[in-house]
This record gives sequence, C-alpha cells and structure tokens, in this order.
Amino acid sequence: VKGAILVVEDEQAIADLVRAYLRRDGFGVVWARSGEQALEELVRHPVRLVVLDIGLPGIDVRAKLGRSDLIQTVRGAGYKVVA
Amino acid sequence: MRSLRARLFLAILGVVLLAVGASLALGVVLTRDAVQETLRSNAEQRIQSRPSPRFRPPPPPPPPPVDVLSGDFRRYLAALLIASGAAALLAAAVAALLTRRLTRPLRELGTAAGELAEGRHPEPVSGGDTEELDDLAESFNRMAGQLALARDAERAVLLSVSHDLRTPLTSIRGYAEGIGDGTVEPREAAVVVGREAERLERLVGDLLALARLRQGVLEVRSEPVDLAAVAREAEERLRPQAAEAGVRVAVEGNDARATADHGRALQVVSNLLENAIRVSPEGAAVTIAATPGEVHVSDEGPGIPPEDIPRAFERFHLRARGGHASPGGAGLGLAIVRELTEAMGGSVEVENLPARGARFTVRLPG
Repeated sequence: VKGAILVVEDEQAIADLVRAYLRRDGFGVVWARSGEQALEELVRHPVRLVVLDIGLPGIDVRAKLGRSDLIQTVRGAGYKVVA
Repeated sequence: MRSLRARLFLAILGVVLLAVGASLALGVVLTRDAVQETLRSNAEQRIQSRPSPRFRPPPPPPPPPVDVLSGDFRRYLAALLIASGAAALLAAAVAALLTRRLTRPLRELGTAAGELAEGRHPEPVSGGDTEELDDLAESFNRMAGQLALARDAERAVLLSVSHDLRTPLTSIRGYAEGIGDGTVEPREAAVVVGREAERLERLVGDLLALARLRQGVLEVRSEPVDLAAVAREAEERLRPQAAEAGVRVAVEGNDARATADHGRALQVVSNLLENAIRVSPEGAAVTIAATPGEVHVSDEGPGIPPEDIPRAFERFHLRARGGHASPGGAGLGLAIVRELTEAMGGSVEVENLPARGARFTVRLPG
C-alpha cells in the first residue's frame, strides 16, 4: 500500500468510483461522507492526501474555502492545501 | 420640446413674464391716471383761489392728457421696464435652479431604473424634499429590493438545479469511463448508471411539472374523492421504497371525503410520504391519517428547523438547508405539493411534533 488517502464526498456513487480508481492505483482509501466525519477520520487515520468535495454541506463554497474549519484543521495538522 | 426640465423652466418663466408684464401695464395705466388726476385737481385749486368773485370763471380747460411717450414719463417708463427686465432675468435664474432641483431626483431615478434593467444593483435613490418624488423613490427602492431578492432566489434555484443535474451526470460519465478502462465491474456500474439516470429522470419530470403548474396550464378536476383511498394508494405505490428504507407505513382513516382531483391528490400524498420515508431512520414509523377534508403525514425523522418552517415549501429551500440530511431529495417535492394543493383550492402546512419528527397537513375543500 502506497499510503492512505482520505476521500471526502457525500455522493456514494462518486465516492465509490474515486475509491475504485485510487485502490486500483495501490492507495489505501478512507472515506468520509461529511466535513465532521472527515475531521474524526483525520484524527484516527493519518493520511497523505485529502480529496475534498468542496460543495459539501458543512464545508460550503469556494469563497469560504480558506476559512472553513475543516481546511483550517487540515492545514493545522501539517497538510498542504494544493487546490 | 420633450425635456421635463425645459418645460418646467418655460412654464415658470412664462408665469413670471406674464406677471411682470401685467404689473407693468397696470402700473403704467394707474400711474398715468393718477398723474392726470393730480394735474386736474391742481388746476381747479388754482382757479378757485383767484380773488375776483364777481364773475364766474370759465370752466378750467381739461389738463392735457398725459402723453405716455413724453419726456418725463418716458424716463419713468424706461426705469420701470429696466426694473421689470432685471426681475425677469432674476426669475429666469431662479426658475433654472428650481427646475434643476425638481427634476434631479427624476433623472437619478431614470439612471437607477436603467441600471436595474441591465441587471445591476443601483444605489438607493432619494426623492429630494418633494413628497411625491419621495414616495416614488421609496417605491422604486422597494421594487429594486424585491427584484434583487427574486434574482438571488432565481440564481440559487439555478445553482441547485445545475448541481442536481450534474451530480448524476458525473456519476454516469465516471462509471462509463470506469467500465472502459476496466476499473469497475460492468454489472456494478450498470446498477449505478441505471439509478443515477432514474434520478435525473425524476428531477427533470419534477421540474417540468412545476413549470407547468406555474404556468397554470395543468388541468385540475374538482370531484368527490375519498382521501383514505388516496392514502392507501400512495402507500401501495411507495411500498418498495418503504421496505428498502426499513420504514413501517400505517394508514389510518376511512371514508374521508373531499372535493379534489384524485390523481393530483395522490401525487400530493405520495410526495409527502416519499419525503417522510426519506427522512426516517431505519425502523421508524410513518403515519398517514385521512379525515374528511384533511390528510396528515407524520414521520419520526429529525423534524424541520423552526427557522425553515416558513419557507419549507419553497423550491430547493430544505434541500439547500438540509444538505445530505435529506439524501436523494431533489428539493422540488414540497414545492409541487404546495402548488398542486393550492390549485385544488386547498392549503398545506407543516409543524414539528413534540417528541420528534414533522407532521404535514393537507387541507382540501369538503
């Protein structure tokens, strides 16, 4: 396993698809349905990358991206926000 | 001459010139008469004061009429004319200022209306110190505010619709690619693609239904309907969904008469039941109770936040607010419920139940 990736996505079908691709490429995948769940998962599983659906409820729109609690926490935990 | 400002200016100027002209003419005539009168009485006094009382003096010759163009009077007239001219000029200046001031709010209003028409948000306009223009400006500001709200709502609806259309499409495209490069099982993908296509179909159907309702082209019949029968039919329709969600549906009531359109009433109750099933946790119960003229649909879900209750029946409102608390709901079901109920001459409302869950009540004419 190359490393774990946290996928934050509320649409099950899309999450399943992203998981299928990441697994095919040899990554371990942790899935969270919501921002809150993502925070819990981050505490439990240290991951190398977070793939975040920014349209998620609790995360809100692009405008709030920099200020969102999740992003702040992710940054605070030493992750780099790339896009 | 189509400018209001120019017309007002000319109107004021016209009135001033008329007034000055009339005063001038009247002044000339009155002064002339007064001068003549004085001359005449002076002449009489001179005759009476003559010392010879023996013979009657001949009647005094009438004083010559004052010639308006003669020396002294002409100077007097010229001064009068100059004064009038100066007054008229002053009046014109005041009229120009006055008209500009009176028409400025109108010009501002026109500019703001133009901006509004182009889709921008103009600054609030002021009517100046004129009561009528102030009223007009206030109405305009109110209208602009309402329009801004309506535009925001329309934009929110559009965003919701495009998001809801795009999500299933993203899945469908993704799974098609997944089949193509062998990442997902075709059988598994087929299920997802089918389900997502169904979701799209439902959303487009709802949008069309709502558009038709809004246009008022939907035919709604008025006939005796048994709401209990409608409730049982709706339960039958949604039995598969209820079973899948692990939700028990109970139908109560018998012979609940109302005047409505059977098909539309069935759609109303089905939408409410579908909502109730969707928000219910597994193992919860949903109750449809029919009484004459009324149907109640109660669930044991999370209820509706009190601040959302007034807007619960607006398109996408709960969807936008509830996020994934109502997975799968397109956010149109309740809007359709309201439009249909109102088209049948009824009303619909929602309240939270004391313990948990929400209760929707549809009232139809008896």
